[in-house]
Amino acid sequence: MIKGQAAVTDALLFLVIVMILVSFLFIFTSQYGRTVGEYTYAKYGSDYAVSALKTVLYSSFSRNDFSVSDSNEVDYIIAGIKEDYAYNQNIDYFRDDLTGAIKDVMNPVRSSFDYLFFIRIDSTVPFNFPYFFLSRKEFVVEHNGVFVSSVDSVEKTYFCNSSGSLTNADIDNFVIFVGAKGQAVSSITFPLIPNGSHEGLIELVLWTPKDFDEEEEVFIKLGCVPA
Amino acid sequence: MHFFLNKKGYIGPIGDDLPSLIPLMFALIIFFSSFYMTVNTYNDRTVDFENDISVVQISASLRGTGFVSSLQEFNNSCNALNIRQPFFSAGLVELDEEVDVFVLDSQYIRDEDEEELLSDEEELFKCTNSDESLTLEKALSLNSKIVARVYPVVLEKNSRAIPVKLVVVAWKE
Repeated sequence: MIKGQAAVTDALLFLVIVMILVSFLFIFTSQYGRTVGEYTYAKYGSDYAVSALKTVLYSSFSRNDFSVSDSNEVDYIIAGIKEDYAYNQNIDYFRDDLTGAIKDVMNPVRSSFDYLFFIRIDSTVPFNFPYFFLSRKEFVVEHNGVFVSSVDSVEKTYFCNSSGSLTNADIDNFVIFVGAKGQAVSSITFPLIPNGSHEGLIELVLWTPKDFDEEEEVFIKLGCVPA
Repeated sequence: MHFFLNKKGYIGPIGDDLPSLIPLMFALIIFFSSFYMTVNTYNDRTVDFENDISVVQISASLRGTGFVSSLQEFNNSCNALNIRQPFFSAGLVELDEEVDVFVLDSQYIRDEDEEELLSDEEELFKCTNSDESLTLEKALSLNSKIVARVYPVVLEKNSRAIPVKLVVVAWKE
């Protein structure tokens, strides 16, 4: 009988050892490739941001009322931005064309990424951020006066820096809050009329849609108004 | 008779250890099941990584500087690729067109400016390493793995820079 008890105890001990090994296998299985998966997704976001920024800036636009394909007077969008800025250090005349181009280029990933696209001027001028466009999805919708979570997100677009008091720190805090998955930056020189120039940056930041409402402090600081 | 007198309850060398065999078998079954599952997951994810990495390589080569100036340039980038597995199909598609991975050949942009006499297939901004295209049947098969990515690029067409999208689809059968 003692021999039988010893055999059962050995078997149970073996079972415990196996359970520990199985736990390690489960942990390995759940973790394996996680970092690589996150890296490839971030790499895709980053590649997309770089491609999108180039595509937006170097696409053609028509300088007259005809479409791009019919017009005999076309130019790069970046030329239009520089020209607009040169007159009054702001992007206003060309704002709609630029916004349309951004929306078109970002359209294929509209369900995967929210984004912001802005121009930052380094020197102190009336508009430190002459153009600041943000697109995000909201998952909470109002239904009969009650706010409910919805699987179908609602895309909202904004022009920010409405108060003109936006700072680099506000943008950095917002980017940290949403967790950027891709970022592209391009330096640019804006010529001025009649002479001189301003150095600036054009930036595109992508992130996986994050559910927050318009009362979020980091979002309020961006000073966004519906586009 | 004396042999059995001092061994009450003894039912044989295996019979005596019978209760211990139950946790032993249980442990072995759990271990080998988990091991099998782990190996399967490892293999599946490795295939996913290979597909992901291939798509990154293909897209990087075809995008180049992000500005495609001609079909010739696109084909040169395509020919520089040396990928046998996974199978892939990549090409340029109009920006506003909804991509359907099963009819990509009909969605790829055709180069109408090409002066050389080319076949219908050669006129397309298309790059692939497979004679067969991806079908719904292949996609639904048990071991199939598909990765699809889209990137915006600029295509020079009639001296205009048109935004289009580069679609890359890779699959393993």
